[in-house]
Amino acid sequence: MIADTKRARVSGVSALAARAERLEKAKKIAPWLWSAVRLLLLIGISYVILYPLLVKMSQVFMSRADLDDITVRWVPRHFTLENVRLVGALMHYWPALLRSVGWCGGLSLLQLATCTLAGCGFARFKFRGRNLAFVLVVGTLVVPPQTYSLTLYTVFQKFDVFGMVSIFNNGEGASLLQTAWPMLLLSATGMGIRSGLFIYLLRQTFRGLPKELEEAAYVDGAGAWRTFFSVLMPNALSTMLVAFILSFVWQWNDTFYSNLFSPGFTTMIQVMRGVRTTITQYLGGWQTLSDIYASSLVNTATLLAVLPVILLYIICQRFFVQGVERSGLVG
Amino acid sequence: MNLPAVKHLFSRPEGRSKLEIRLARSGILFMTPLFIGLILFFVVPVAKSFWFSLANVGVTPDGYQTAFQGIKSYITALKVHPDYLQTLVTALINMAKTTPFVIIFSFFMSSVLNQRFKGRTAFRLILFLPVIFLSAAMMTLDSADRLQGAMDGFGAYKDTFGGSSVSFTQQLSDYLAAANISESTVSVISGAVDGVYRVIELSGIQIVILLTGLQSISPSLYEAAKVEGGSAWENFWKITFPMVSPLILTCFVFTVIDSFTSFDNQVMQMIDDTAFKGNFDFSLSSAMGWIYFAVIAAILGVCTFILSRMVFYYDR
Repeated sequence: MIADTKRARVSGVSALAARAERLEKAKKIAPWLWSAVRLLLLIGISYVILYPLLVKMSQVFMSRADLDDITVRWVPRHFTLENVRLVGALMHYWPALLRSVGWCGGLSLLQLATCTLAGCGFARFKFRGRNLAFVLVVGTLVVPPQTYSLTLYTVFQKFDVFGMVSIFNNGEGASLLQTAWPMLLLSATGMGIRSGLFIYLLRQTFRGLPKELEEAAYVDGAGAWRTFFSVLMPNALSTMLVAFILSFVWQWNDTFYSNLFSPGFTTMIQVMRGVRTTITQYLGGWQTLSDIYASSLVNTATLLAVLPVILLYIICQRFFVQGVERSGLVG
Repeated sequence: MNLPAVKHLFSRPEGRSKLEIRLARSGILFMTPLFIGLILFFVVPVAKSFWFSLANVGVTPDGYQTAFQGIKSYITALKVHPDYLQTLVTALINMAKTTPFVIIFSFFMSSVLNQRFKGRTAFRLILFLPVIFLSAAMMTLDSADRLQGAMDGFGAYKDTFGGSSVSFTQQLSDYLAAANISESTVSVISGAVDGVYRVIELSGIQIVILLTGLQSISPSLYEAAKVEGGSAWENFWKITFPMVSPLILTCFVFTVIDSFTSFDNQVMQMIDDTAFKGNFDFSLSSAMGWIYFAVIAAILGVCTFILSRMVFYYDR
């Protein structure tokens, strides 16, 4: 009887021990399993994102023979830079690149300056009407630009501030269409492409800085501007960089505003819009449109057009990730 | 005469030092460019656009003339125009279909990217890429290709048989059709595959936003939970989720705004075309824009109201 219970207890203990062991094993395997699943998942998603890029990239260096050869799929057999050279010449690549970089860079810098000042103003200064102004800034994000693009167009068609311009211009506002002014003015007054988002981002950043920083500066007798440039701004640099990159990229890709105000500007994106026509004309007519060679040339053009932006991103990615983390978007 | 009260009018408000007033002044100076922009390039055009929608706009040689005509354009847009209502409803349904997936996916991805593992930086780099070139440059081309039926969702690649390029989704549905799977099932599957691509493409900024949120949660909260014996599951639902819930709301608002201001949006195209192509019906175009805006604002308002009740604010 006693031996029986003893045996039962022993077997119970051993069962428990076995279970514990199994649990232990599961605990050891589970993280591994999760890592494997995570890795697979991330690779899959990265593949989906990179796929269009990879496809385009593989065709860039293929010679015409490779393109027609069905056994060549990803890696070119006859590596050639001929496509790049041809498309570069057709696009007038270097002048377009220089123009675009200058144009987008200038606009982004203007936009960044205004948005940083405004973000700091919203975060750090109390004055009447601040909340109303912020509601309007959020409003610029929520009201789609298409809704008022037409009236904005008319503003620049007869540009006049409180009748100031008409004094010098025979009682009429000046037409700023087809010039650089509309975009310059919009960017400089914080109404450029998605400026509202940058103001919001920078406001959050400035809000997150400790108050003691600037108080110390004020006690030492620095004014608002001095404090801003020597204390506040250096702490917001990483967010400013994020804002600059995003602004540059959106400017680079913008067709809406440029079509509205200055469709004649041959920036990269405008060149891209016409590139299909240019290539088919070069190849001899629209029937070549579905040709795989034409399509590979178009792909080359696309890659060449987005290459500067991707390079910018890769160079700045470290600061980008940091800046995004520091902007502390909470709230 | 109540002298202290009058004096109060001219003295500085209580609790504001001289320094604060001086700072307020420079604050206004900081924002002067923005104020000019808001008034000249936002408030005035928006008000004008609203007036346009209520008026009969006639184009004259030296500009345009307006005459008030009430809500006629709104009625035209809703009752007379052949496609507007249809397009509007389709756009809204599309938005309702993708938004929840974008939010769930970006929340999941940001949680994954917040863990420590090898190659995290590389994966972050790749997942932020759509933010960088969710781009017109790629998109104008891809949509142009779609017209010629050569490229779709996943881009083109060389087909082994024809030598022409065929989309991934197209191939997938061909395979499935060859495997004797019914047509409706095939369309559901290929639709889902296309949807996956779209969701990933749209989630870039949302992942960024949620990641910042996850990283700003104080580690002390998790330490406290560890001491109390909380499991990972409990930690997630009682710490992580409530702490990032305000950002989920932000993401929701951002996703909705992003989807209805994006340039491949059908309604937006229609608004643009009504104004600048065909018979230049500015009034109708403005009315369409305002109806669309009102619908979105209503949806955003209601959803934000409901969601904000569920959101947890740490320092309320």
